[in-house]
Amino acid sequence: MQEKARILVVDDEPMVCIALTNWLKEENYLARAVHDGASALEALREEKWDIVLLDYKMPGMDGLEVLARMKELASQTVIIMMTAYASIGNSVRAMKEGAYDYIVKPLDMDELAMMLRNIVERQELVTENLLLRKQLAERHVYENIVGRSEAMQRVFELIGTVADTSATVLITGETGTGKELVARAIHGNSSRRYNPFIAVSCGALPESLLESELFGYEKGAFTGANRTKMGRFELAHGGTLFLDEIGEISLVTQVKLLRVLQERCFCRLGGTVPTEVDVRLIAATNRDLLREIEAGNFRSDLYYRLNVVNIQLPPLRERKEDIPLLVECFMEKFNVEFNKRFDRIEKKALEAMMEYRWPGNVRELENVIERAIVIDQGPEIKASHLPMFRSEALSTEEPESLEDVEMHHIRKMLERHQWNVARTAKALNIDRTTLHKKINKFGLERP
Amino acid sequence: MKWGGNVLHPTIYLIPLGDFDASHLTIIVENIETQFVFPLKIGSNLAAPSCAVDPVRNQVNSNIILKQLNEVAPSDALKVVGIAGFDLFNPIFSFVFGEAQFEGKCAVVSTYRLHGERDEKKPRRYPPVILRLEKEVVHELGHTFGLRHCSDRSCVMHFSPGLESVDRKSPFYCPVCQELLCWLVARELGRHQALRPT
Ligand SMILES: [Zn+2]
Ligand SMILES: [Zn+2]
Repeated sequence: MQEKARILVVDDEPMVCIALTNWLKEENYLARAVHDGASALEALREEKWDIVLLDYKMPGMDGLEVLARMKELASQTVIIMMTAYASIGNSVRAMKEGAYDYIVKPLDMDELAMMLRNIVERQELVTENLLLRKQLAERHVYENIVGRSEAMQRVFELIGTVADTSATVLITGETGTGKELVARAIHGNSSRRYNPFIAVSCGALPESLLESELFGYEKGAFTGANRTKMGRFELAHGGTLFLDEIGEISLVTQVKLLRVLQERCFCRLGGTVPTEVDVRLIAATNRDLLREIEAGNFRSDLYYRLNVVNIQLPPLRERKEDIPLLVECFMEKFNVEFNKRFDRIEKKALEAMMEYRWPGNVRELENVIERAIVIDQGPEIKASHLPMFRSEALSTEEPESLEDVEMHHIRKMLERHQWNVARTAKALNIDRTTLHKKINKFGLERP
Repeated sequence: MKWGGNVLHPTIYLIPLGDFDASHLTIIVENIETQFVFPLKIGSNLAAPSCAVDPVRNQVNSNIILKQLNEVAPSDALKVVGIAGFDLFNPIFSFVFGEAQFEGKCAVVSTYRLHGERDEKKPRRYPPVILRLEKEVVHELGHTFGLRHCSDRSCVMHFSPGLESVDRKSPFYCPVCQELLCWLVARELGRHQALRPT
């Protein structure tokens, strides 16, 4: 497992060491603590450390002396001095001696996080040619939505124009095209961005629940309502309410929704006092609402209220030129999530992706890349990692290939037997050599 | 869902600390229950030990609180989260919204810094403190299960040292964290079960 960087903490107070290493782990660093200068130097001799957080005042050897020896031992290691207010003068001296920076105790979490991130980023820039790739990506990535195709560039433009108005937006597109991302991007670029973004998936809830979810209820409104509950409309006050799968709501709820849109206020279920809300509404659907109107399933007045601005997301098969960039972005994303180092894709694999129809759109592509990265160590995504090479159609509901099931099961059994290979092999009814081969193949590592 | 605890009934406890008003917590109970599918109980108020208070900083040491929570945890407690109104610090950071024992049992969260500075020009109908608290509780619970910080800015596991970033994120785990959480929870329950005499 690969963390962002290896950090050595040097401090004589055990409580400080525990608190600091605990937090560094949460920030996805590998962290170890030692309590004095001598053991710090020994740790540097034994292993490579990217960053050292060094306490200025320690019994035995003073900080400056340790710093000088560290610089001799490991000139590439970045050293940050931790100091109390009184000795800031000393820290400045330490920086002259080669410390990268200093930070004052008690530490400001944000400051430390930024400092560490800058160091890691800088190191990455040096080792890889990341900058170039980042600049290229930035022009084609907008708030987590990726696309250099003309259709997507137009979507980006539209988001930019509409974001800071209060216009209601209807987003249409097939499942998996990223409708919620667009809604979030609109919210994130509006003046409402520091207020809540509340999403409701209308299709996921039964009729009765949906109403209480949207509007909330008063204590005693119905059996089981033993306390007052705020609805999503109230929770989204000042912010944006995103109603996904709007085509699924019943005609009754449609009327109630229409009333809120017209009057900007509503009553909780069982309530009589109207509540005023300031909410920007964004709706999305994968249905053809005009056809639903014709069939009598959707109210036309509500449709026109919702469809003030329409953003239509193209299916992935109509913007295949975006696939390589999408692959790269997802690769980077899952590299971080799973601590892997994928950086390229086999030609055959990319060709297969360009051929494929992608019924599940971008989400399906994302799942495919995630699986490829989970099951192998990299650095190349191979055609054999891709499900479309193994079966004709990939169902998005059942994304697990047999190979995945095998890997999960082996991992589970290894954990159950505390990674004892002999016992696990026996339980799996295979011999040990086979199990070792599979462990290597799937890149399973003892946590 | 994949876990339900048919044998153990593992429970998540919220323990109000000091004079924190427990009735505020009912609003966030539901989200936490649905995200974890474990029953959630609100314990009775617990006084912070006097040794946890630093008279100079006028703050309470979160590490001592975590220790105390570990000691008083009920036997069916899978996780215990202390909820405080007072200001928290830990031995190294100037203040913390909350702190968790990474892959451990306990966490503590405080509303003290979540109020922020009042902006008179922007009256809010709903002070979002409770919603911020909800995010911090879900976040610290994630750490107790072994989740690390997430790069997705709307994910509840995104690192948020300031209120702006707290408000930007949602109270939910992103799909990736959700998936990881599934694994981690299954692994943890497996371990618990293995420890039980049969
Ligand atoms: Zn955290
Ligand atoms: Zn996440």
